[in-house]
Amino acid sequence: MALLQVENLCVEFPVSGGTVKALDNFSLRVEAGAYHGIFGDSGSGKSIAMLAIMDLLRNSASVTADQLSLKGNDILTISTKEQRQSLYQAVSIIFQEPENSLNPCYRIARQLDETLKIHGYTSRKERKLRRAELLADVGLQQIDAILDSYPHQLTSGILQRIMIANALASDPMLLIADEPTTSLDLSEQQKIMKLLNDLVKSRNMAMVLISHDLELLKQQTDFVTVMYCGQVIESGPSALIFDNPKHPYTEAILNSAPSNWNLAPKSSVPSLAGSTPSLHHLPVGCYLGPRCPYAEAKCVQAPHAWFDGSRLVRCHFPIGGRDD
Amino acid sequence: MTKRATIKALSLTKEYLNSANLFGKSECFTALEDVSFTLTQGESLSILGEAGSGKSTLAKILVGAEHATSGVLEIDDKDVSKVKSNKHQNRNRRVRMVYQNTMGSLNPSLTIGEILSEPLINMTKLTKSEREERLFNVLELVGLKSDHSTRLPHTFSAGERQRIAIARALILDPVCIIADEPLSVLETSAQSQIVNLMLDLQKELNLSYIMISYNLDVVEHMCDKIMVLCRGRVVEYGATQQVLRNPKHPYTKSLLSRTQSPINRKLETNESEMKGCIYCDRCMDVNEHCHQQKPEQVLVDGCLVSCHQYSETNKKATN
Repeated sequence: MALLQVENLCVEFPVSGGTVKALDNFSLRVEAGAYHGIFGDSGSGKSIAMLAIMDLLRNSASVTADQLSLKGNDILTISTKEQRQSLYQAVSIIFQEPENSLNPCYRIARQLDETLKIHGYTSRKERKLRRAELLADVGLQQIDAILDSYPHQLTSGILQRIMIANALASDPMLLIADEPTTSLDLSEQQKIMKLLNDLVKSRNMAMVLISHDLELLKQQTDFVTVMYCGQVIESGPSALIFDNPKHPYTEAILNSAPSNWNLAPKSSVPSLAGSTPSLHHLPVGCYLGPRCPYAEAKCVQAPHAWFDGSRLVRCHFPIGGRDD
Repeated sequence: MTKRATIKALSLTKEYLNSANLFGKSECFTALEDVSFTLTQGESLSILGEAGSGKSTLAKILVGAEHATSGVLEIDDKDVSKVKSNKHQNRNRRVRMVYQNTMGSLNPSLTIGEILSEPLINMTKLTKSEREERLFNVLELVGLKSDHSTRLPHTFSAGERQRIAIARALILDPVCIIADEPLSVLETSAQSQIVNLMLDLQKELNLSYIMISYNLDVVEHMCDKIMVLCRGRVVEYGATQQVLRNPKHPYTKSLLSRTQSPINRKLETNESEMKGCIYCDRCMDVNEHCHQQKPEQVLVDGCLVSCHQYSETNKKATN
């Protein structure tokens, strides 16, 4: 039984004059202890999918799915407080900007306490011990000084470590990290990612990492999902997808990543023409069609996602042909 | 033929006064100290350094939004360091800036045409029709269409907004553009498009770039020189390949190898109390000189390095 099983998850937001489909038949299967990566342009639905799984879109969007279950228990229609509690016990999420995730008016100690109280640490003494333990786990020193600080007094690297500590408070089985290093500087990015990877390994957690960093996803993840305009366009084992992409978009993105340039300085670099369409004005048929170098007449019909034995591809003319 | 220097900076220093409390004595904080460099036409310089190293302060001085406490700044052979006014009319027209946050740097309530003509209205005496002509020329340069000028910023994608920001920087015909993390908020497919655009513009207009970027692959591809800043001091300055392949200063080494311990600016040593090298409290191989004496800049393999490891006094002492 998979830890997290998502089948055909759709999210629609109401807008003036209709709805916008932010997520179109998203499927994901996370086994216990597996490391998943999700990649895609902004607006491709990566974060929306995670918010829907965490039941954070309840009031703003219509969320439907064929299946959305955690350890076999349906979490799409959870209603009672206890059921939600069990979801948040098992799954934690870390967001992009730690400055925005923490309340600027309270000291760090109080904010960690808040989480710990919810997760059942009732006595003050217990919480104090647990706080110190969590902060030490994420590699922080001078813990007392940090606990006594307000968020604005700390650097974003330290704040993100605090957010990770916060997420670990319930000993989750699945950690979702939504671009956890985007707002940090280079040296800090590497350290936070190393910390997350070490924690995932040592605690045997499953991880879903949303990232723009292809190099990182290639090195760390077991499985990767590539998204475009709300759809999963390619999904499967990382080694297969990074070495031998089948979808034209995956191929173009891999070629245009700075780490894969290897060109003479100042020569022009490979890039995918055009820009990502807005969800209000999606092209007919395949969403990549107008930008795709391999597009043919058939591409005005929407391609179905099909499974070629080891991975999911949504394209009429995958690179290297169909294997089936 | 020797190329003309677009920017010549000599010993730029910027100090800010920090008042500790209402009645306390104000403290002097040195954000930049003794920064010198030359940038010629068509050349690109990258500034590396972590948060708080003075990259943005330097950028502000170069565009004229701040004035250096001391030092000489020559732009296009004109000494601009004596201009003491904060009026934006006196900002350096020839050095323009492109910011990281594409949405935050464009006024959401103005159309692209209005955003782009603003610098022309404020800083030139062009007539309306001349302004319009310039506007359409610049839009074409950055790969946008003239009918885009009536649209609002939010109707564009992040990549297109960065093109608009570049167009705004180009509209006053600058010699140098400072790009502060121009790619970091863009998606991968737009990143390479903007890199291509910037390289094409450089060739076409003979522009100089100053890139503030953490993306070393991009820096390596686009820049000729690298300047590494640590707490406002230049610790290493040299050709891109030299600095990236063979870093000399311990700070550059740790920045490139990404093995530093996390710094907590609030809890670390007070910088004003440090007599010696600015990096001595975090450096892995310090000697007694480092705590007492400021290192001088010495030339090692074509790179300027400020570190006692390479300085003459240290060599003599060890001999």
